[in-house]
Amino acid sequence: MITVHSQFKTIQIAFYFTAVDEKATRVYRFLLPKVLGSHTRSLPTRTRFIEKLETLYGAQLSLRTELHANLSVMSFVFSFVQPTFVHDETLLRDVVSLINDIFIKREHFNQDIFNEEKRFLMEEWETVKEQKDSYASLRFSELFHKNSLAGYPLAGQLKDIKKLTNDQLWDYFQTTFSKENVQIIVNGDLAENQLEQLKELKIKANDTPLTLTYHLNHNQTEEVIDEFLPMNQAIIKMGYQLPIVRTDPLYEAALIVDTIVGGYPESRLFKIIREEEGLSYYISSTYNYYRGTLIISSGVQLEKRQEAVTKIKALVKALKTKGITEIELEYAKSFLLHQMKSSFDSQSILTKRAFLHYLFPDLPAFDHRLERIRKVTLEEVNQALKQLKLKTVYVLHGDES
Amino acid sequence: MKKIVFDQLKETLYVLKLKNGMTVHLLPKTDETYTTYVQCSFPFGALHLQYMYDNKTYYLPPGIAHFLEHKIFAMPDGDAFHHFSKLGVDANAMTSRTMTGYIFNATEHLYPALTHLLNMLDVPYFTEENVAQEKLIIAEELKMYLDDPQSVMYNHLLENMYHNHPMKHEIGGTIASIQTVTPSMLTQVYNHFYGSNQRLLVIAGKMNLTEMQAFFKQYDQQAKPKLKPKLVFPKEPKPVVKRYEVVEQDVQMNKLMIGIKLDPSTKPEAEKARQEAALTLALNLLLGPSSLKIEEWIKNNWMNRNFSYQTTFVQQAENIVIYAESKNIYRLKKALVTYLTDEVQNYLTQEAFERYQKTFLGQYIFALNNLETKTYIHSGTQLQKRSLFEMIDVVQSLTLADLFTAIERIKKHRMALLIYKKTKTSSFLLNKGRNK
Repeated sequence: MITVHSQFKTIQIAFYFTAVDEKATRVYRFLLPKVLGSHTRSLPTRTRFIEKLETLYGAQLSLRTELHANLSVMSFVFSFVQPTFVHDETLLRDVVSLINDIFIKREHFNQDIFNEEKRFLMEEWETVKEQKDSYASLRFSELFHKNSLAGYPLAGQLKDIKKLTNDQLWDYFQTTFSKENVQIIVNGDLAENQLEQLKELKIKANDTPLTLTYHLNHNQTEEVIDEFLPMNQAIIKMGYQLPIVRTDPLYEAALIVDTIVGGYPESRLFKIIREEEGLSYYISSTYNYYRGTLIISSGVQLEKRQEAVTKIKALVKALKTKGITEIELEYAKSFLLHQMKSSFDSQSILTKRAFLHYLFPDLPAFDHRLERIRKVTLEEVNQALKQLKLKTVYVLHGDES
Repeated sequence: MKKIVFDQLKETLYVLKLKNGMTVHLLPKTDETYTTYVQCSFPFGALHLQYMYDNKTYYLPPGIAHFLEHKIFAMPDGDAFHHFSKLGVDANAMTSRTMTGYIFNATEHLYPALTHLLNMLDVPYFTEENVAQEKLIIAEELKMYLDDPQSVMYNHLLENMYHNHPMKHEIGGTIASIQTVTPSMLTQVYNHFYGSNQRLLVIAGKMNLTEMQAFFKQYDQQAKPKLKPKLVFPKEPKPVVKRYEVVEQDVQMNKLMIGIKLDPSTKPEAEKARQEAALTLALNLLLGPSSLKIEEWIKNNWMNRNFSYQTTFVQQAENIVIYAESKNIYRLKKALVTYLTDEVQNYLTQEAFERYQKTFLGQYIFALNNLETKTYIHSGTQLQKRSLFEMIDVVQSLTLADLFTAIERIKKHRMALLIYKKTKTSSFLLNKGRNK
């Protein structure tokens, strides 16, 4: 168990289950937290389970499945108020007991709950086109990460969901939870006697070895894809390769590249495409340091979508050939340093960071990371910029003609 | 500087009233903190489309408050974001139905950023050119919402609920209404609504109180108090505009929205806060995740995860809006209406009420834990002349009887029902992929 001492009014107990990401297990790992976090043997229905959380002063259980490089992580984060604020001495014991019920004292999953979770997921698939940006992201990802697991939906395809049975999920749970790497993070202002109570947790950390591998985007084709869907705008997704990963010496320079391209209101995309050209309301870039990619996303004027694509391409090309200015570098560093320092005021980020430090033991300490950002040179940023290579342009738009 | 201590929650509020009329609230965090959150709010929002100033009546187009929020960032020497970025602070703004807020958070350069924020608010810069440019940007923002069926449906429902009240308009207005905005209109609104005596500045998180006092002492200047505009709301009939409408839409699953128009409360302010808290609590019990009815409808396949409800308590327009997606939309509609009007009395129990009071206390502590949320909620409650820290007492003073009284405001003949029904030919994709 890893303990983070912080002075929030709430306590977090987080469980991270990690295994190598595989296509076949995606649907299992997506549904499992939802099923586990909705009932137990003594709280057999969803309502009874929620009532229990309400009794624990509105305790929250946040469930997620996410990818870190080649690893799939299922997280269960319990957040509840520091018992001293509500003068309830049994609160921590009750939370521990609920956690034990969720992970350990289980019987086969309730069939009704399994069916409901499965139906919810299938209905999300059926309505995916209504959420235009989510749909565009899904389609873009399939195209940009062609022939790679990165292009496969995190929740699996609809066919995977339809095939899955309650027995299969139960079997997966039993085998997985006995073998998988498990980390427990406790974050809050806990007294000695409270830490003592945590020894009643029946689930224990498990250090099953993990091998971290970065799978860079190696898409060899260059594509421009247009799709029509009745809508008022056009959504543009442009996928660039930026083959720099977290452990690369140019990693901090790549963070600066992302910030200057489209990471904040002073970025080139925001200033030129939105403010000067008036082509869009939202426009941003996202750097993925596991896959070595930089993705630009924007909702733009329908009739000027081609112009927007051309201007974005030209903007990135100008950055690659002419580089950035000293002032841009200075501003981007200030912004990044602020974001990093500010994150220390978020309990959830601190909890997650403690886990990531376990997952990436070579991750530099916080002060060292700040120092590395401060030391990035213009030359390093320009070197990183030169590695940008456009591979996929995806435009979802409402122009039937 | 006035100091108010809230012992149970270990919170202290310091209040400064400046000579220029501005109110400053400081919520320092005593333990180790890196960030300071700042929000400067004005009681001018999307609902304020008619007002009297110096005995003259003014009419404004929908979306003007939101437009002004965008354009306040324009300064004679460029975009205000530029200087915020130079200082390494994260700035933003928001417009609601009743207020506009300018926000930043800083880990360094707090005082230069505060000076810049106040300077930005003191120096409006509206030109034909920058207003024309902003119309393009806001039009894209509005189109983005038009591509979201739930947003479209919500605005459609409000039009079916309200005859005259500006609640029927979208916060950002429409593409047509924003075309009527001019630099002189923005200047007029700025002069009438953005005076120092209408500003509430809330600062929370890391701070040194002595330095903070010195900063405001140096900033403050005697100013002649400005007139405050008198808001005017058109007379709104109690019935809804349209009680039931089914529209064929290009959606993938049928959707239902129920808008319940509440007769405006005539209670005094303190009693109104209790009434609102009671109704919110009652709805959480009746429609929240621990509701037995919701569980039953999920089991019947009448509902999926896309179910939500919200209450709105604004000037002369109070309402409840419920949203659901379903493959059994007509059954769900009937069941929801019957439940809310005839059955709810059977589902509000003393046990559930006491359980939810505990939940509220927990949620309240969660909100205080997050500096950004604390700053935002404190600003909102203060503009309503309420206190964030006293809300807990309001909720703890409620009884189950208060909840029963609150739900009596839900009346079947004040409901507007709107269904978006999937068309037989739902949207198709035309793939025009081409390789370079």
